[in-house]
Amino acid sequence: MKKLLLVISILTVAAVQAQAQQYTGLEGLLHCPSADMYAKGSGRISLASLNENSVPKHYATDITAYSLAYNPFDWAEISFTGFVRKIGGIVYQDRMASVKFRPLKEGGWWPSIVLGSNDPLSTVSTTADTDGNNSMCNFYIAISKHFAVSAGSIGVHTSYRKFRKNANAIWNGVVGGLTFSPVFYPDARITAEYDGAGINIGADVKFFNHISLQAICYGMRYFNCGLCFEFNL
Amino acid sequence: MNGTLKKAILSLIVIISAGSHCVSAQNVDVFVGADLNYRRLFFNDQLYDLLIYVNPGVKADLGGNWQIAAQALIPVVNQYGDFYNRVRPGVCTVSKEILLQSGALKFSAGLFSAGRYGIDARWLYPVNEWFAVESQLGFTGYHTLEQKWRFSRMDRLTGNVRARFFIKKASSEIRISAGRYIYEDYGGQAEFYSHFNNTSVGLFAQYSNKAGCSAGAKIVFMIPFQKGLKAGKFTFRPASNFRLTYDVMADNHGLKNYSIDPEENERTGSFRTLTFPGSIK
Repeated sequence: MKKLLLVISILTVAAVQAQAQQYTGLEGLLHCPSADMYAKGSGRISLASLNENSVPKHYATDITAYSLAYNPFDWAEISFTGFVRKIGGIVYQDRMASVKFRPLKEGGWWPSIVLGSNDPLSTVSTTADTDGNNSMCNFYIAISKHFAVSAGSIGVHTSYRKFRKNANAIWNGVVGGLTFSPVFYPDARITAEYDGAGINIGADVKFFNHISLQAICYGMRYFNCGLCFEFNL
Repeated sequence: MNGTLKKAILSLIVIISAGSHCVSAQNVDVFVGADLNYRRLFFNDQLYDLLIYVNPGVKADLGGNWQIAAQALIPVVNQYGDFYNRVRPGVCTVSKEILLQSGALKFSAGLFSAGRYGIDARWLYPVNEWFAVESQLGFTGYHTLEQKWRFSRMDRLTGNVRARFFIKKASSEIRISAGRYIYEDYGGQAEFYSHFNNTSVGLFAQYSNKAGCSAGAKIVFMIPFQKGLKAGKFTFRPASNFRLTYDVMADNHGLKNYSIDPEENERTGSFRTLTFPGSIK
């Protein structure tokens, strides 16, 4: 029994999780946060195309998001994201910061736990649904645990998330999903998640240690995608 | 050949000849960098309006910790308007560093960044491995190249004091500063820096009695290939760094200060003879 526990423990700790980008530049699932983190000194430049159904309603159009992110420590991620849309020939942009802190790192028997927020600050603080300020504002606590199996690594992720604006309440509550990275290519990952409004599926793959691609079928109907360049600072 | 190109070539000649005429110069560095400015003032079909300068410069080490530096700003992308089409002087200074038992002093005079000219004194005192004090005092005026080169009276006093705390285990640094700045505002700033192999990333929060509160990020990327190409006492190389500040309030006036060196940045600081912490180059 002790040997069995030891083997499970080693496999669990050694499980390699592919790193994938969210549109925020932070480690996460597809439309939900996770408690995974990039390594200290990691930097990312990301570009994503988001269907209008996956962003707050007042945008009323598809969004292009770009982000810059870095990890000052193993336990902290910080990013800046710009949401860009073009209406009637005019380019509009919303900016947001995202932060994520990990008080507990995943170990043999316990999961990692993070506290995080997207768009926590605004120059004009408002909860009006039609106002562009704090459009994405949300706070969350996330838990993640990975298990090594013969075919690869399975990640189990759950979060409790609360958006500030009522218009985004469809994404509130308990959300989360499952990830799988195959043993023959640990830098690939497939994900299925529930984001409060529906089921999303997607895949990430990292090439040459620096370039990540992400494809998402949002709500099993709409297509989102992302491109990320990862580097060490 | 259009006017801008002529002026660019003329500036290069002036800069290189300034270096070559320093007969006592021990080393002369000729370098080229880029200055990126972006803004979003108007609703138009662009994400940002861009203003990009190529900024060739020269630094001559005259011995005895004397140095002269000169730089030109040559606009290559200008979406800011005609005013910015001119080739401009960048930082052009003569400076002297003096090593003391309690740190180092640096005196500079000439054209600084942010359109200032005048004289400047700086002091850096690393008290121990994890704590240092810095201060700066300047007496400057404004200069501008509109139709002709014009100077205001050199009557503005600026100064600040900064405490720096280095956390070696985390390669991180906390800086707290307060003072009077070039738009005659008073205020203070707290900064947190992560120093990596080639890059420093900083987060800051600040208060200015005229511009209010703000926050943002700073990034300093050290450009490789600094050995460059050598020809006698001349070294041709890229600029030592590329740096950028992002301010969430997009206010260019709160706690604004000038640089006294064309390659000054938050990672390596203003001094050549002394750095804090010593491991950061």
